[in-house]
Amino acid sequence: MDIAEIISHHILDNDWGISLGSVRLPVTTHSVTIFVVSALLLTVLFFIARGGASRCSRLLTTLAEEYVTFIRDSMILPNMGPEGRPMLPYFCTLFLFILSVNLAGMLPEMKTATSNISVTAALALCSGILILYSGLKFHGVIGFLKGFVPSGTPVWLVPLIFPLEIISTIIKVCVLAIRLFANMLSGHMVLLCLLLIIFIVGKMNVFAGVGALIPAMVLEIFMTFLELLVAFLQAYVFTLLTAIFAGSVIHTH
Amino acid sequence: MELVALKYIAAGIGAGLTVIGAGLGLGKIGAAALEGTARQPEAGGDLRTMMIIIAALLEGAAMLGLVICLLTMVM
Repeated sequence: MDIAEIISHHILDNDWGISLGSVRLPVTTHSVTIFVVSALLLTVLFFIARGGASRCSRLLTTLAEEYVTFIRDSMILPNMGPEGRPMLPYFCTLFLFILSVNLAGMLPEMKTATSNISVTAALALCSGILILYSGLKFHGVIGFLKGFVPSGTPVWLVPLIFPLEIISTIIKVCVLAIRLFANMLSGHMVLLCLLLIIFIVGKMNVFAGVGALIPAMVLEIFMTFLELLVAFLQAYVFTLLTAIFAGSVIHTH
Repeated sequence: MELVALKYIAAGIGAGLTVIGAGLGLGKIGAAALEGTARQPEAGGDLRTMMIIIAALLEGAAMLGLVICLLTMVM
């Protein structure tokens, strides 16, 4: 196989759609990964939520409580204040979902669904709706629009500032999607390219290819650990930035 | 030179410039956070959170550039 073909096969989503009459249901590797991860999360969390007296279930309950407290104390309360309390379930879901999908990409036969722009765009859209909702809930329509103009702005500057602020809010949400997408995509590209070094060098000379094996594998292992870190970091950053943006809409200046 | 080759050169130079900018920015953030933590170790937790936020924002801007480079190369 050609190298460009391998890269595109690895990065692009292979689609084996099901046709039902005129409707075509797209079943792709990414959507299958998402469904598998969601089913796994729902099953595990269902058993955690049901509780139980055994040692194992008590341990899992403690873990879940610790996780929720972590989200609440490190993201919601410092950035959104007590108004963010009712939105805690969304943030817990967001973090766990992104983290699980990111980590699922590290397993063989699975693909990182977050390296698909559609998936991250949908996540960012949910966050955008949350930001809009929290602004409208706490300030009403007029107050929400007023919040886009910082207090103390001269009147003649308002028509200039207002569209700029609205555009910057929209761009923030878009960049939220692109950041997650680009990070996951580039990480997996690097992993693949490091493996391809072996084959590229090996095509020139077989012995050189064997020699390139060891440095390439060392780099590969290093990058894999970095990818594990990035999976956590990007989930954290996505959730944290959503909390910050929602907080900046709630507490306008 | 063929125009197709120029496309790849453009993508490579663009990616390199983006990474230079992002690297300078990240270095500045890291240095400032480290200095702040060294001067005031009890503020380390807050500083780390702030550092991650700003680094993420910077990375978002850098990634925008890199995605454009990638698109230039692929299209």
